[in-house]
Amino acid sequence: MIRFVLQRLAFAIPTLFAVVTATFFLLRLAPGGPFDGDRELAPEVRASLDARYGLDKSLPEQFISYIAGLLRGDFGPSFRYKDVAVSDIIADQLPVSLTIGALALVLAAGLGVSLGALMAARHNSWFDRTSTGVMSALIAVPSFVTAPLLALVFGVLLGWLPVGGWNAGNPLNLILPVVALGLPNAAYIARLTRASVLETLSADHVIVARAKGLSPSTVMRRHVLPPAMLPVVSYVGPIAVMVLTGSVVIEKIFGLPGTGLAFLNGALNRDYTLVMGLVVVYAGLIVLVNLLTDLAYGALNPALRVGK
Amino acid sequence: MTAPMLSIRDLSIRFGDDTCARPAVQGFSLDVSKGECVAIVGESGSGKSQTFLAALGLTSSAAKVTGSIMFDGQELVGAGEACLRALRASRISMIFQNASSGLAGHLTIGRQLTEVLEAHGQEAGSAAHRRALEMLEAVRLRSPHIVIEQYPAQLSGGMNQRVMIAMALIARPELIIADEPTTALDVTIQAEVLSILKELQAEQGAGLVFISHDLAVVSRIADRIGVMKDGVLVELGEARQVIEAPSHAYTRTLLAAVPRMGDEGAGMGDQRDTAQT
Amino acid sequence: MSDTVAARTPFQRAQDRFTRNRPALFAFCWLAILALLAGAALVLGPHGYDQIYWDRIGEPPDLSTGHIFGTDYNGRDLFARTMLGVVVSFSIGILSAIVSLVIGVIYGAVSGYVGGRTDLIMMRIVDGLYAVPFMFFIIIVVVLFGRSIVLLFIAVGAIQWLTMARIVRAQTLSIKKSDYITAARFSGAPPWRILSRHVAPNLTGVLIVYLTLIIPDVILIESFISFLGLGVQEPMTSLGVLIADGAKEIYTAPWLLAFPSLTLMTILFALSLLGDGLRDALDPKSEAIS
Repeated sequence: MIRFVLQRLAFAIPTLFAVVTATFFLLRLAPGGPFDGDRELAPEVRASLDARYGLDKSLPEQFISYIAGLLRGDFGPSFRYKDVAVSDIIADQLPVSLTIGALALVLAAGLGVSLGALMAARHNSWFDRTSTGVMSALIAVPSFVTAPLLALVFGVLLGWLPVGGWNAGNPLNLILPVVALGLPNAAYIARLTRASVLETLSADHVIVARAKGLSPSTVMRRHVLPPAMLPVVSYVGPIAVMVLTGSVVIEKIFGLPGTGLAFLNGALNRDYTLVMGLVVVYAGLIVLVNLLTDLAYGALNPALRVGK
Repeated sequence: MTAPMLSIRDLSIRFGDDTCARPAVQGFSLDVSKGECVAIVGESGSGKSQTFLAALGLTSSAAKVTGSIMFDGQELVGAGEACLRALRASRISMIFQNASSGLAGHLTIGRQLTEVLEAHGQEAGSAAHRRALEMLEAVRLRSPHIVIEQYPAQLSGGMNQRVMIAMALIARPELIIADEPTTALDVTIQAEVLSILKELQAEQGAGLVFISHDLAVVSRIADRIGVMKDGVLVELGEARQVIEAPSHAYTRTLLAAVPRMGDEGAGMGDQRDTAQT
Repeated sequence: MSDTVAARTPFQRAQDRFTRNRPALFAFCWLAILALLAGAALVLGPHGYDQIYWDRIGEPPDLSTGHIFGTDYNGRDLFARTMLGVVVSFSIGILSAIVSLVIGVIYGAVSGYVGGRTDLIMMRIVDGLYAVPFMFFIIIVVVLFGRSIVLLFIAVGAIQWLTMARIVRAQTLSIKKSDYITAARFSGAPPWRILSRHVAPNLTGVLIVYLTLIIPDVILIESFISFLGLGVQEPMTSLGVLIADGAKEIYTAPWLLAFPSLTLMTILFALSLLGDGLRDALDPKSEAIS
């Protein structure tokens, strides 16, 4: 178990390195730089800026010093915001995105799995058919359509919830963004769960479980859901990544000070270090999510764990 | 013998709404008494499994079951789910054919055994654990203490089939339905599993319905033998009589297909016979 | 085992199964009608997508003026712009899907067919690429290298091929084991010939189904990017741009959000029905996962 985790983490290091390298050179190859602002800078100002941020050195030198900084846990100074460290910006804004993302993921997984299981249990019923239609529709509606609609209905017309802003993480402010981000993914997970549960319901061991005289709810909980979750879990990794990075749109609509918006503005401003820092953080998160997915997979499937 | 424990009368099973289609089972009648072993023989698709799945109310929802299945004075055809559930495994239990897919891969052997006891309000906790160990020992599994913590994927096919038998008998049922319990096993293991099953049945005094396509296997343990063809019970009688003096042509065909020890060129000659009948 | 059987399943039978599937057939017709309508509106429509009516700024839908979807705050006909959005979204969807198809099929088929160490390394690379935050990757590429449609669909196609490569590899592996491939190899057919003659045709079913899954994904990604202001630029437009603009005027001119988003929803919905229908038709055994 611990060996497996270490193995995966060891494999993640070259991946992270490759991502960092690719992003670094991609950024530098692009035309334009952080100080190509609206007005032309005097050559001496420009030179001193370049010297200050190490831009006067050769690319490989810059790369090595950046990597050295990363290894010390230093993301460097922001190119755009004077005297602000990238790690400060990230420390400020990551909690916003992570809170929204994690809550949306919990909503998506919880709602998706329970609804999907219920739909499969009542296969072909009125409930199943209506829900299938609603789920397909929800998947087809992008979150940037649902988000303004939700804001219109619950924020403006009903006036129940604030239409935007972070407000120090006030739960009321979280509801709309979390719902807008979580709903399409909940629908997607519900569809996956339904199909997988339906398949598992006709498996041999489920008939055996019924022949044991177990109650339908025990059969569902203990015998159907765990194996049925396997294909679902393998999709949760990509879904989690989508939720975490897809929050750019949600942050924009609800005016949340999260990393998604920071990334977008960073890219637009050529704030190299900020963009790099966020890519590193997100790549790390993705590695972590994939590791958790693998662990969940193993927990659900002892045959994988013990080998044969 | 006393009044039969299980009494099936004129049972028919039909799939789908199509009334023109041939029913899977037609006009099936059979009595099984306490402590008796009845074997039902027939080729795959002859409706033998469906007949007894119906007794547990486990036929698929597309199946239409008519006729009567009386168990201990209780009508099972059309009985409510809760009522059937109380019977399953605790009074009528079933041993399924394919143990590797029939056992849940994600639960330990112990869990799969004890949940039967829990479901019927029998032993729980450490008592259930003890009873599970006892059953694993009874089916002659070596080192039951280890097996009880293991997952089906860690056991061989033969070991899993023994677990299946232990699972079916753990709640001390009065009637055991064994659906081809040895078909998936090697011949050497087959014989041992068969004798375990027979022994335990005798010990518990339960009725046993043994479903098989193999007359040779059946002739070793059955008191009575029934032969099914295309959903109809074509022959039923004392085991000896069915084997020595079969009345139906189909039974003779099946018998002819059984290779006998020391029978020179059994295969070829018998096959020719088969073709002629 | 089943591959050999599936391979011989007549195309005719798949077609029958598909036409019997009402929702899928309906979805197919809807997409066809929409594509024709959009094309016709662009070429023959009374209003140009960039034509400005100074006297009709931000007007709600009105049949008498011929602006059936109304006009935007620049006085442009929303119907013409929505139809342009349909054309752009369809083209990006199809082109990106083709890019991902080409890369994915070649990569996956080679990986699966060659096998061994090569396969291991190639698949590890794919695993590694899955750890790249792709939304960010697209943003970087589009921001830094200019906001052109071509670049956008290449970027999107370049990330979509990963799943495609995995699917093709798995299929190739199972086909490779089948008896007729062994036979072909024993009769001395060179690997490229086996790949193109025997393996590729057997992948068709899976690929068609997967294409119907990729296209909505791509359309959605494009609209996300356009929503962020990084995609298609004015006066050109896409459904994502229209929806983003509409969302800003949701309180004053709701039709600007309603028509483009309804159009996008019906497209995505129809594509998912079409995908389900094709999957059932081409591979009746597979259960509807995803």
